[in-house]
Amino acid sequence: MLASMAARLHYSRIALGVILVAVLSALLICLIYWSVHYELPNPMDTLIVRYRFNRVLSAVTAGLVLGIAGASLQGCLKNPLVDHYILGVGSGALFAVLLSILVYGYSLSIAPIAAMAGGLLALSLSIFIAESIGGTDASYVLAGLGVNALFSGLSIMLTYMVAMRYAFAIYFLVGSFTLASDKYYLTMLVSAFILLASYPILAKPLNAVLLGDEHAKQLGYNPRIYRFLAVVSAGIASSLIVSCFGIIGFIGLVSPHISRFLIKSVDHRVVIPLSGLVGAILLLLTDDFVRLILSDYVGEIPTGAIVSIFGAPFFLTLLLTRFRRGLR
Amino acid sequence: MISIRDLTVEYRGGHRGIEKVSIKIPTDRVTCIIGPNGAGKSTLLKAIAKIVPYNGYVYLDGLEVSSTPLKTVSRMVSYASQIHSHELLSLSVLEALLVSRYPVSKGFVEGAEDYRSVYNIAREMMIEHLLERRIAELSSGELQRVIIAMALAKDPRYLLFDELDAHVDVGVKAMLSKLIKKWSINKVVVFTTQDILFGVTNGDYFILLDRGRVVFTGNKKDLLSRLGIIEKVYHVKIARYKYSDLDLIVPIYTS
Repeated sequence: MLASMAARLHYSRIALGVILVAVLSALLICLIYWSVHYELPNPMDTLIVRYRFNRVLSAVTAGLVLGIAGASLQGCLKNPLVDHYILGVGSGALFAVLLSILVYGYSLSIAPIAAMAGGLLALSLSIFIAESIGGTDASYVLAGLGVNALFSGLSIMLTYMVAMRYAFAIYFLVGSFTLASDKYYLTMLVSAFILLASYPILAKPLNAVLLGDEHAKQLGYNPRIYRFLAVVSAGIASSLIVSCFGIIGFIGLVSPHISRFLIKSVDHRVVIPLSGLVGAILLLLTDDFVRLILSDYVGEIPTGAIVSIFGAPFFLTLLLTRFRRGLR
Repeated sequence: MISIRDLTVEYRGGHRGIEKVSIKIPTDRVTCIIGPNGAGKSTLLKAIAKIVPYNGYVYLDGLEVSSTPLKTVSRMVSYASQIHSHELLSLSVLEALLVSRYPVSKGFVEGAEDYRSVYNIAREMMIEHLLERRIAELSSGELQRVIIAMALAKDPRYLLFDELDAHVDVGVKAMLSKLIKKWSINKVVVFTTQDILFGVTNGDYFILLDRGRVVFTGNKKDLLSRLGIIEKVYHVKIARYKYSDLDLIVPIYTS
């Protein structure tokens, strides 16, 4: 009797997750349509439609990638306060992109490769240092913080040098979709594919990792291998996004929390896709706000900055609410 | 049979948790591993469960553990130890039990068999009322019962319990005593404990470790006839009592 009740309860939670994914997907599609067609001066104006569509698709893909990457990273490191930025991947990728611009000028074929190389370099440094000091969850975060500080400083320095020739480089520091274009499609597609392909491989092992490294091992999952896979896939995917639109830090941090709050569970089989959808919706809404409302008053402010302004209080409220309700 | 030969486990920094240990753990009796803190009890169990790398040989049913895939070992062995769960990333007890069945459950989502199995174990460990609670919210005694249930969830042949009776009250210890006998009917039970009374009451075969080395192996009768070894290892006087047909040993704490 209780067994079937427990099963029903658990199944109902998974069903709730599936329903939420479906509802959010539908909401996202409606939002995409609305974002493209909002106050369109002339429906036949394909130039505007194309620009808007590119921009909307860019925000959605970036949000999806950063949301999934954030959920994977938080799960594999058992740390609810990390995202790709904390591990230094974002700043490493940005540094490499800026360096490539400085040396070769901006190139669509070089920038993503440089971003991956920079992101992976920063990641390798973080992993090497973290493994050297024990390979625990805390080691990864501490190593990432140090690497991040190094590459952030270098990126700011290079931005000043690059911005003299390429003014748009300043957008990379905060993250913006102003220059969204279909030329980024391939990079975005590869980025999304890496994370979507890693989802079925990582979802269950990450649940085991939440119980601790020893428990994960005695359940047949080597935590170091799955942590490495999760960190590398999230690192490469977010590096590619950085090469297109710069650093957007807050989405990867907040989306997994909202997802876990919605589903009242930490099961990665549901949290990862949900986090991707939440990230996509949040980033699209923010970019819509910047593009459709804020630009009338103060001009185009980088979306990355507005994400933090709106996201931070929301995130803090969420944390306080969860603690007061007994962490649920 | 668990057969161990020349087992050495070296941790980072060169500290050896276990050094040149060669023992055989019988499968037809409950084995209790005792020894003071840092003796290598947990390390020995972790080596058997392929949780720590080691030098030497550990054979489980004829399979050498280090050259056997982790997945295969995970279906044969459960190693139960403490869980440190983050408040914001904590599974519920039901989720943790279902996750503990991953080595034997099929598919991406659990089936009815998994729920039946998990519930039966929850009932056995008297934790049905905790199923919806989060692990991070549990008291240490409740958590210990959940950890034991998690070890049982995948129905392994070898049950390795690290500090089986940690944090639980005497009532639960009495319950565990009965359960150990029940589990030992069709499983190999090996447990460590810091409570030598609990250990002597529930073990049939004993391994006494001290600073990474084996100082005694044998059955209860042998151990009780050589209490001096325990006294020497723990640096404490041990008294022996007879209660009904039970042989009891108790450490004497004097100020």
